[in-house]
Amino acid sequence: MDELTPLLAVLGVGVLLTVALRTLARGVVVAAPLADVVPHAGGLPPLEHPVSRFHVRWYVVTMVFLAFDMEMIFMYPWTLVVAQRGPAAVIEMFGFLALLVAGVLYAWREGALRWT
Amino acid sequence: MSAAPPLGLSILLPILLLAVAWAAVAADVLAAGRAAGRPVPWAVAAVTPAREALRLLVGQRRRTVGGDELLRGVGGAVLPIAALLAAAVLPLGMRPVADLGAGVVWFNAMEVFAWAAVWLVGWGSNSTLSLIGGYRFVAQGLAWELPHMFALITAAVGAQSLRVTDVVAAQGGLWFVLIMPVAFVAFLLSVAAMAFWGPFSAPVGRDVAGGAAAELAGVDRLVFVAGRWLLLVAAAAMAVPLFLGGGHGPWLPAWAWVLVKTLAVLVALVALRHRIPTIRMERWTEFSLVVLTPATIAQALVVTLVVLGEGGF
Amino acid sequence: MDLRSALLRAAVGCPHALVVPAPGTDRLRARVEQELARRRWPIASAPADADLVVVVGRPGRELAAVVDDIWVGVPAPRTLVRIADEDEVAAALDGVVRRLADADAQRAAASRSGSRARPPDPSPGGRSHGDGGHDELGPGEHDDHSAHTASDGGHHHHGGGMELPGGLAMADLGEDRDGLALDQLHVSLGPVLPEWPSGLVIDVVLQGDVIQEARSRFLDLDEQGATERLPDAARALDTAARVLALAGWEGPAARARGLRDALLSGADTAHVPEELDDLRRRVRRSRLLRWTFRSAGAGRSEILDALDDVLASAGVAVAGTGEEGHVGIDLATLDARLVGAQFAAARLVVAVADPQPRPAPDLPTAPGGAS
Repeated sequence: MDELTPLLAVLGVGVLLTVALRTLARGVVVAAPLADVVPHAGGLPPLEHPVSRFHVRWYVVTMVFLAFDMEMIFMYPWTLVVAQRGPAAVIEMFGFLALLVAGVLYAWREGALRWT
Repeated sequence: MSAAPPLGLSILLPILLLAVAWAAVAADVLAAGRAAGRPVPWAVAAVTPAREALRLLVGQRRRTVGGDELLRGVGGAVLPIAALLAAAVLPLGMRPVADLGAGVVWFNAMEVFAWAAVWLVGWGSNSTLSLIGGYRFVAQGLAWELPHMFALITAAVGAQSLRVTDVVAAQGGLWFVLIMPVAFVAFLLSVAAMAFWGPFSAPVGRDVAGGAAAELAGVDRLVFVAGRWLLLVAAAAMAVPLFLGGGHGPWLPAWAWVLVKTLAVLVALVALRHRIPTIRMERWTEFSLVVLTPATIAQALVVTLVVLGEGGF
Repeated sequence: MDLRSALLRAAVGCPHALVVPAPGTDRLRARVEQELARRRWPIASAPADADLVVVVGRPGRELAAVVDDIWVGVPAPRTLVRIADEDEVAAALDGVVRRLADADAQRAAASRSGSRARPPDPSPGGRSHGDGGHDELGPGEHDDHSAHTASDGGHHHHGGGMELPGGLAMADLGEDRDGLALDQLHVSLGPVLPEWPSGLVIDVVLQGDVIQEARSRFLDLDEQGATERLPDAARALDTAARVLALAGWEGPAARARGLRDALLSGADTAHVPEELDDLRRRVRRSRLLRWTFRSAGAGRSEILDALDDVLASAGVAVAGTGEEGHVGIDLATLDARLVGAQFAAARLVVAVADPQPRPAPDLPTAPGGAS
């Protein structure tokens, strides 16, 4: 818990600074906020609300990323014990990584990493 | 361990980051002027950060039709706060504000907040171009994060610790950049990428009229832009304890070495930025996953074997 | 109060300028850009980023409406200047900082609402940009949308009877190139975007950031007076500068603009051929540029080849050996190239094609252009 006290202090200072900046701005700003601005796409008014279900063409990349991200959760603690555990830990971790990389290369060969 | 009260250091931290960010912006103005063949005098470059900040401070804010003001505000504020929190584990000299046992993981976790922040700003603006910018950042993030994490882990393996001060201590003799150059390069690339800056500035690119920031004005824009520079500075400064020996060095005190090395990393990034164009995210994704990720994994393997060899196995 | 004025004065010394050029005013626009660069006033990327709106030339009816729409969304402190002649450029920009620093006037003139009051419009989706009684291009936009959306049964004009903010509808589903049903967003891109051809508007159907359909048009074609064209070399450099700027290569873009301005002012052009060669070599040698452009558009490196051609034609024109070159692209060809392109690629395609308005409106190509 002791470790976290300075972090809470930093968080507090960060929030405080941001709030202070916004308060300061409210004091010195030239005019009250502009409301209902039409979103800019070149000057002509929009026909629809731009917030739409955006077609994320790189969704396969998110899957690849997730696989690696899970792996990271193992790898961070692994760094602490690898020296004690010796070659076995190395073989296990890098064998696992090799499998993941093979998956990436397969996805790449299938063209999943290009979307235009 | 409690040499300085945490409150004092946590107030000092934003001041230091802002000062370095100021220098970085000024250097960027100078470099931009040189690249354009229209040199900017030092004095003008030095006051530019302040003038631009002031311009946004007194500027009117604006809200878009049907936009989500709350999400956008939160997104903007997350950027500088995440940068500060990430910088909390940076040794300023030999001691960080918070010497976490898992400092490397903490840094990683904080800097990933930028993903949410930029996307929220892009989405909350309810603007087509902002939305495209926000999604660009997420796509880029998916790509740079993997080599970035392997670079962090390689440094941690080298020191056999996730504590940043231990990583620095392990570099008393040999800087990690010498035994893990690939990880260092991957880390530098991800520094620019996480701050969506330089070759990775597509999320706020000119082609999308400012992208995620396209509808931001006044203090909203100031918080966003300042957060971006703070993120760049915090991440560039992290390269120093991880790869460049932290506060180790002759003649100067540790804090001075940290400062000098951080500025050197920033100057290198700024100089490089004006020599190269923006990289399109789909190109980067392919390169990052197919080339850089395996390369950093190989680097991690090499370092692991070196560590085991030294351990007497 | 006094502190506020002092702050404002310190803040506005270097205003960001949003340039709104009327079609066919390339020469005057180049002159304005040159003067802005000389003063180190940055070019704003969007109205939110602007302190100063510079209207270049005499806008026609449609562009004038666009200027009004943009102006209400520019945050204070702000000012607008209209420049119709080269002699006015410096004088018009001289007064800008003083006007921006006038706190009382700025406060009084700041807008509160970012959307212009318009005549009431019965259908939420049927809002077109101009006022009622439009020329042939305005209604064409409606035909465009109903024609496209009819095929998949959905019609984006249906707001579902719900009162949505701003009177805008939500995007509706449509089929994409992979056969998936996804939201289609109908957006008019231009005429005020960074590095965008003057007066061009492209009505696009977007799914995600990929363009499904595109139809280009120029504003105020019927009202266009005499266009002042740039000389070939200057025009090619202008095009190259835009492409380079879109590629995020600001330094070379600024140098290309500098060369363009040197040619236009005609003062000292001795160094131009050499620097132009240098620029062209840099572009050709940049591996990063080649790599990042590779997937742009349809071909492998079409954009880069086109950019190289543009720079080569500039070299030929500077040397004065070539005949009248650079035939403009017609809009239907441009539309066809944009279909299926990602947003970033599409911007490069438009910039390198750099279409110019022609006095005779090319309406016959309009209906079939998008498919």
